[in-house]
Amino acid sequence: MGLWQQLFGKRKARGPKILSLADDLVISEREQKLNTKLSANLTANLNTIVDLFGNSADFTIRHFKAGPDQLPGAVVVLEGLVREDSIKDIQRVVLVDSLKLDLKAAKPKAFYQLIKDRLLPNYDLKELDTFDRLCENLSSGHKLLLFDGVDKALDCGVEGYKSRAIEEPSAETVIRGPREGFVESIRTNTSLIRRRIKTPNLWIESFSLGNLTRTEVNMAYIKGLVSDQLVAEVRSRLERIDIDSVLESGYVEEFIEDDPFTIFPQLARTERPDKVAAGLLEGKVAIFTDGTPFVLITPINLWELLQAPDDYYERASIAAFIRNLRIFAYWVSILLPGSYVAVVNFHHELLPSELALRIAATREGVPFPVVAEVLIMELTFEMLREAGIRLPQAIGSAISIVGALILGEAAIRAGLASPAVIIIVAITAIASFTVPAFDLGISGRLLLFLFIMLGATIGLLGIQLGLLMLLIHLCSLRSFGTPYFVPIGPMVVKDWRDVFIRIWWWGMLKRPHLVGTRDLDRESPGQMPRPESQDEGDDHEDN
Amino acid sequence: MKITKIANRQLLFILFMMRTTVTIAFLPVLTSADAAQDAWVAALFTFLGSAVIVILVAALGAKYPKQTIVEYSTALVSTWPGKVVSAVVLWALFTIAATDVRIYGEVLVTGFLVQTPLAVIIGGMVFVAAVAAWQGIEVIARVADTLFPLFVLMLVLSLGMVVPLVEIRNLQPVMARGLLPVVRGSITPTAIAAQMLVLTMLIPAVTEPNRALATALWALAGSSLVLVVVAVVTVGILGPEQASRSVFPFYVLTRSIEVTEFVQRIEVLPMFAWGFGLFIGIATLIYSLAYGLAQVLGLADYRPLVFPLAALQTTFSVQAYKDVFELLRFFKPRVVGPYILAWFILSLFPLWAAHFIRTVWGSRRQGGSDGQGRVWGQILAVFSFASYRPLCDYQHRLLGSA
Amino acid sequence: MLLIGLFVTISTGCWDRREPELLVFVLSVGFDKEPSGDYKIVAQMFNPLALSQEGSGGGSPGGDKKPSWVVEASGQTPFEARKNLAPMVSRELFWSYTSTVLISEKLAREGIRPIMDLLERERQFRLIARPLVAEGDIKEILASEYPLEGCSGQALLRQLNTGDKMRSIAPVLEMRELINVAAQPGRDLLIAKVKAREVKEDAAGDKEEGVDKIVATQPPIYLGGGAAFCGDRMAGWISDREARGWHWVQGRVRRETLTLVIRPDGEPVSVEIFRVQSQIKPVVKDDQVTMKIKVEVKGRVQDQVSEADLASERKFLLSLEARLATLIKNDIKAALKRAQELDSDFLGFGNAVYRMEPKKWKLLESKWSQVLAQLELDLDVRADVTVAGLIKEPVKMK
Repeated sequence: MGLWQQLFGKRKARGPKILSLADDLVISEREQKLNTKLSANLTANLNTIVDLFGNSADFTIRHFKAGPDQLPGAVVVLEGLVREDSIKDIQRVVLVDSLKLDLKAAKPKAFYQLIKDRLLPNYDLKELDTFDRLCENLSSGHKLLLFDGVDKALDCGVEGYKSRAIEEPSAETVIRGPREGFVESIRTNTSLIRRRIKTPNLWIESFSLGNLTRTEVNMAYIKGLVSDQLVAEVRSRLERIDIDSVLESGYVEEFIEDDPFTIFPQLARTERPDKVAAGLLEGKVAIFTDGTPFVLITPINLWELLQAPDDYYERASIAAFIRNLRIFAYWVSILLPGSYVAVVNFHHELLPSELALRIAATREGVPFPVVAEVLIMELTFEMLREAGIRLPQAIGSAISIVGALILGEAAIRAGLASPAVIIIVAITAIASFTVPAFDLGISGRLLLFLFIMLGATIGLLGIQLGLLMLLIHLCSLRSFGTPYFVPIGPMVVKDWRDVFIRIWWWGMLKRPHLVGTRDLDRESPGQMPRPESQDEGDDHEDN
Repeated sequence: MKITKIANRQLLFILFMMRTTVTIAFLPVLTSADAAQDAWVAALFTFLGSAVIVILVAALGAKYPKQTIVEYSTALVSTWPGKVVSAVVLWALFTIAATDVRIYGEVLVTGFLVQTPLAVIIGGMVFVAAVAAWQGIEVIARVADTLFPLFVLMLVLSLGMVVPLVEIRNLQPVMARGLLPVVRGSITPTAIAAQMLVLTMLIPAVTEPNRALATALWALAGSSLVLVVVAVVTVGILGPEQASRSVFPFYVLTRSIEVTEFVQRIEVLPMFAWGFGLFIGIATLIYSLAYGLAQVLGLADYRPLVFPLAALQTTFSVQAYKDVFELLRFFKPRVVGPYILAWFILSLFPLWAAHFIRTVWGSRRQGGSDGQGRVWGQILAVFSFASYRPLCDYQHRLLGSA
Repeated sequence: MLLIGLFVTISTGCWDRREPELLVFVLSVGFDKEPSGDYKIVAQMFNPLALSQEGSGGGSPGGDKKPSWVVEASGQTPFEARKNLAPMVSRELFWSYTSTVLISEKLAREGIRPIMDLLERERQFRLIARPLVAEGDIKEILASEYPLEGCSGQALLRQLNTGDKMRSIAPVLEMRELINVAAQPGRDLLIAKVKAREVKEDAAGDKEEGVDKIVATQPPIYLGGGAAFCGDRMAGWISDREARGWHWVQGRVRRETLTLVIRPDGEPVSVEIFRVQSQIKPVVKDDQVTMKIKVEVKGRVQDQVSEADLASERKFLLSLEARLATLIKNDIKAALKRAQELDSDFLGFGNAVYRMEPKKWKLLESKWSQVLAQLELDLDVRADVTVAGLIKEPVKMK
């Protein structure tokens, strides 16, 4: 038993991590400081702040003496988060304009009140009285004004730090559609949505996530369209998050998704405001994260990940064709190499004769077994793809030339790979690139390896069993309570109008079922455009 | 146990695929007896026979829309006889699943994976089905939703491509040998309609249990249509003699035709359709089996039973039939008819009797004790057990030496 | 997990996995019988190197590979003969792409049931293969070279398809149909015949200068006529014309050109048949069976040696059609006569009785041979020449 314990038993917990007494003290001291209120003594206040920020290089204090009484005061900012001229403006107001006021030996409190009420109308003023709030706002780029003898700090608001200009998202380009993309600033992002959906029903709830990063996370939805249950669920899942930092929406995503172990994305993420707006209008919830242009949309299903914004802007028939092409391509990208291996290794008799002879001829002299050949080529391709992404664009194209032209050609010439396999790998690659959602495309590429293995083990039976497992998995997945494989399984034939085809806008009468939308009606029926009445038409004939 | 609901449409798909899979598999109207070119007439007879079975199964279930057979059999014929009835139904489900998957394994071993051990093929299929069963009937139903269009598409494609090759003269002469061969041909496929016993477990899971009978009948009608078409096409192309001699006629058909130089060797289509349909069938059967067994044993959850049952299923499937000949012999009407008749005599007949008596008793004197009805039910049940032997004899006489 | 998966997939332990380069496709197979009574098998294998060297440029070994290789072996049963090929060939033989099955005359006369059994039972064989009865040496036919095609197995298949499409003088059936026919009551087999032609040896020294001389070679194989069977034994050959009679009766003519002499100047006209419908109806009176055969034919004029003006002179056209009908009737009669001679009901008249009059067939079945000998025909052939080509009359030479 003892040996058993030693071999397999859990190690005894080592007890709490021992910190030095000094460290402990420092931490608790800091916490204490954060929770204390500001005192009336300017120097003491400033010292505390300097202490808390630990003399950071960007921490700046501008001292001044204001008013007739030469009241000492200071502007505290973090450099770089605030424009220099706005600091100067505040100083000018406090120093120069205050002289114009009728101030007769005002007490510091009264002086402060006057400045607050009358001199700074252009600023978004707030009073802070704890160091906790003070530090947080300082970090967010607020300007703080402190006076001696006043136990409050005057927050002069934030003007927004420098951020990237709105430009076209490079990962989600469209042929037709708006060229705007989200940026790293959350307010810009929500404004992009506000500008598209002007109803007051667009509600945006704010959360602050990350104990250290204090990242702002917003949840947007259209009140009245979205089901309350969904909103409550998302809210509770967001509130449950306890993490030190949120640097990208991916952190949030992994905390709130339904099935953490699947390779399928259960939240859509996009850089495109039009896509988010469309999602909101279908009764979905969008989650904005400060510091990243990627916005999450939920709930979604697999087929929505295979749709591109173009589908809704292009002509309906074209969109329908392209959509089906994409769905087909997705499955091709998963199944093709595996099926090739299965057929060539196990079911030599299944091909039309001419094709079979050709493939047999191309295999002649290739030193690897088919599986190894396919695996090697697929892996090579994966490496090429990854290298192409990481490299600067100019070199990236060079990589593709090396990969496609030189490597492929040389492999065939040297007899190391058969042309058939190169074709298979190429088709698979092209097919997987047609998937608009990058994460879904990559999931397909992972599955591809699984299917190659299955195909190489028991042939087409393996492919079929794998396919069934995949279907079981997809059918059991849920995205915030909505079945992931809807409207195929469960079958909602009415929603097929927006999956396999994209019906004309005048025919898209309903919002998708099963999302839980409260209001299914999208538009009034009978709006199909018709030509002018017949008699008028006759007049124009062949004049 | 948590009750999950499936739509009637999903039930329809499940039943349709279960039933049609048998058609693709070995076309029993043709291979089990000597119906030969009249197989399609036998298919029509099969529809009638199966409809009777479906009504027997579903109508009773619809009267107890919230209960499985395990529950209402206890209510109808007291605890222990009720458990016997449930055990028979469960045994039936178990056997059907094992046999279904065995046929599939046989065709793969014959035609595709010659060296691969049967146990691997069967084990793989059963394992995947068990995973689905573990996820619950809702997931099975969704997969059925997904596979149904594919299934139909594959059938239509494989049938549509070969239809031009049908020679009507292969179907002549029609009914030249009288009715008997046709009846003989329809017995086995009718007996296989015992698959519909899954309804006894599924009806409480359906959203509209009252319409379950109609659903099942529609599924039956659809699959019978496929059966007729496949019978006509197979005989019309292969000829009655060659088709009857084949172990797996539809598979033989699809592998032995060449529509054009490029459209040949299309047996993958029916094989995949078969695999899909079989999967749905097995998953549903394993689910029903585990669910029912859990109820009989009084367990809170059926899930722990799924994988042990799947393992048992695999072993049974491999071991129950020594070889393909034994499997085929099992499907001779002389063997399979009485066997499956026994299932019904031991399960549904007594329940119907008890139900009937109960309603008669109940209407005659209101508030009369259940006990008396139950006693009568048991007497009738014994009576119907006793009727088994004569019924079998009659069947044998009908079959002659087939 | 991943490692195990990789190991399983890469290792060769998998049950049914075979690398395609370890297989050799047999495109055509021939069966013969040795004088000792053993079965002889002749396999024509496809050489993948012949295809692959086109693509891979100069570096490939072997240089000019022949597209196919013919090997023979024998054994007590056809399958044993097939297995006996293995010790002689470097790769595993693969039979799924066997598209033609040649049967020697000797074997055909001794019974082909063992061959049919093998082809139907063995999973690698496909029933889409076409059986043929070969007159002459099988090996010679399989080894013959086709300039147009990669190898003669494929060539033979193409020739069969084309032959069936362009002419109706050889009853080309798939194995599937053949088995069906064999099993039907009252019908005997008819298998197309191929014949190796004697190829004149060209002088070997022609290629010396590296320039291939254009040599007019005689095509190696002639496809036409058939072998009529009685049971599983061949009863005798039938001619091209008798085979055409079979095509009329079966309504299987797809395209066939008939040349007939017409009235005004006694010069010939060629008519291509493009649509045929036929109906058989047996009339049974005791032991006397009359076959009512109705054939409807549509044809088009393809060329005209005769100067008759078919467009304006109605009677010429009518005479053309009448002659066409007579020709077809004679074909059918010839076929029946041959069937009676050979006592082989390859026309399927017995089957017609079985299908239409199942009750009377039961009485006739045992003595069908005598019935067939006295069988009479009641032919109703309707021939229409409906298309005249692009011109309506021949050019008038001034």
